[in-house]
Amino acid sequence: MIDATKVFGKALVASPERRQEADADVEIVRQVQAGDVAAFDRLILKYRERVFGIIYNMTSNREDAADLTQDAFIKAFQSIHRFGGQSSFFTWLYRIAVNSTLSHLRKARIRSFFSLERVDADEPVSKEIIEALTDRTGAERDSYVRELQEKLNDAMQKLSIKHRTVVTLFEIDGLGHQEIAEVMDCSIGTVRSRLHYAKQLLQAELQPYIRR
Amino acid sequence: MNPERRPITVEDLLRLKRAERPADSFWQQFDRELRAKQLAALVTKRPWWQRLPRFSPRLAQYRFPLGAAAAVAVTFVSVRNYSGDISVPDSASNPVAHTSSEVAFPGSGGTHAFNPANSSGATFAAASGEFSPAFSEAALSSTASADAAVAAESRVNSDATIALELSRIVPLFGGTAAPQESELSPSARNIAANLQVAELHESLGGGLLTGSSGRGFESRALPARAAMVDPLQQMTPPGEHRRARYLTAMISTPADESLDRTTARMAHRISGDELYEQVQRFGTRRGGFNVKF
Repeated sequence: MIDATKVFGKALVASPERRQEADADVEIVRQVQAGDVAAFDRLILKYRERVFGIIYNMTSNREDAADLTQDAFIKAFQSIHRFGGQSSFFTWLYRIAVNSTLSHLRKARIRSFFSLERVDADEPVSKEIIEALTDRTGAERDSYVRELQEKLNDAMQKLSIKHRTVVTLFEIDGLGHQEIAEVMDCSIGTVRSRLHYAKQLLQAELQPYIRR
Repeated sequence: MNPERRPITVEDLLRLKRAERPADSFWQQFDRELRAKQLAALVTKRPWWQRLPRFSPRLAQYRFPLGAAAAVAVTFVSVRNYSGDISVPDSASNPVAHTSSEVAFPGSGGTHAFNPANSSGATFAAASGEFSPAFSEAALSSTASADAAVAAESRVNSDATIALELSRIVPLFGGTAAPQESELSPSARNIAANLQVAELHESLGGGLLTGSSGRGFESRALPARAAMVDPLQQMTPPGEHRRARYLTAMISTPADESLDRTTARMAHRISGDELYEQVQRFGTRRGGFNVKF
């Protein structure tokens, strides 16, 4: 069975919140492994938005992201008995999701259709950024935000799949370098290098919106 | 843009993407689809390779050393077995092969001494004197040897066979005295009998046919192969086609077998060039018939 101390022994789960979270996950996984299939629903509810967010920002397509998120959960469910606790559950789940998405993107490199989700303008961070970007209000502001979203999507799609994944995991989902290295099965140096290169490209693409 | 506001970086713009969230209705549909997929995954039979037991992760990290060790072990065993095959001594130096065997044959009415080590052909010396010629190739093809083999197999537990096998095995272990029948266990009898039958089959079926009994690999019976035919000989020369065409044009459709034979004779007698010249001499013009000489 899974030994939670092994999970915490790694540098993956650093903060106490993450540690508590991983502890709860291990408990749920243990229940699923014991045959309580319904317990997996709690894991779905807990991680579906984050997993969807990663895949959505990698694919820039809502339908694809929904399908891939569902597939990732199904794969995790089918393989839950193989989860040994070497990493935290969410790292393991992320790895499944990222690998499925990378495989999907490699198969369908040319994609002409991108869908945009609505930006939650009430969120403090996004509200502050939008206010800093424009003085417009109402419909003009919405239009401006939508234009910025499209530019961001275009810039992200110009990155290679691996660079896009690193940027998504680090900047959007907030994972650390070590966690990204675990998820992408590469070294921390590679993660940092990819991140630096990707930011340079994005900076060049989004120059009109950047203010020093 | 307002120049008096705070600076905007790439990180800020990317953080804006965090706020992109689908509506609640999306998640309702998402849950429904996921539930359906989950149920389908539970019902669908998984492929056999996914049901195979997997090594634990601790063992998995040693998969390369374990694989290498397994490969070395397999190689070692293979080389050892192969060396054992090719280092089998020939009949002249093999005391076991020289030991004459006694096999009971029901048709001969007695026990025959059987020497499989004879390279020119095993000699059945019938103790009763009814059957004693040396084997020739013709004799091998006859059914007599097959009948003898079947008969020997049917009498695997005969006393003569057991005595023979023990007389072969005991000297190898340094024993001198021939064991008695009462000392043998049933499994020993079976093993001895099977060895005897296998040896008999090999000698009769393989070694004698190839003329190289007691030589390991070569003593096995080889499947008959079709004789090699030159590919050029399998092709019909162009002249034959031409001749057949001309014959078809010249000779009317045969009505009976005599015409068939005539056509065949003509085809054999007349070469292609001659036939071509003959046809060129005949022709029809303006309702007449021309012949060139």
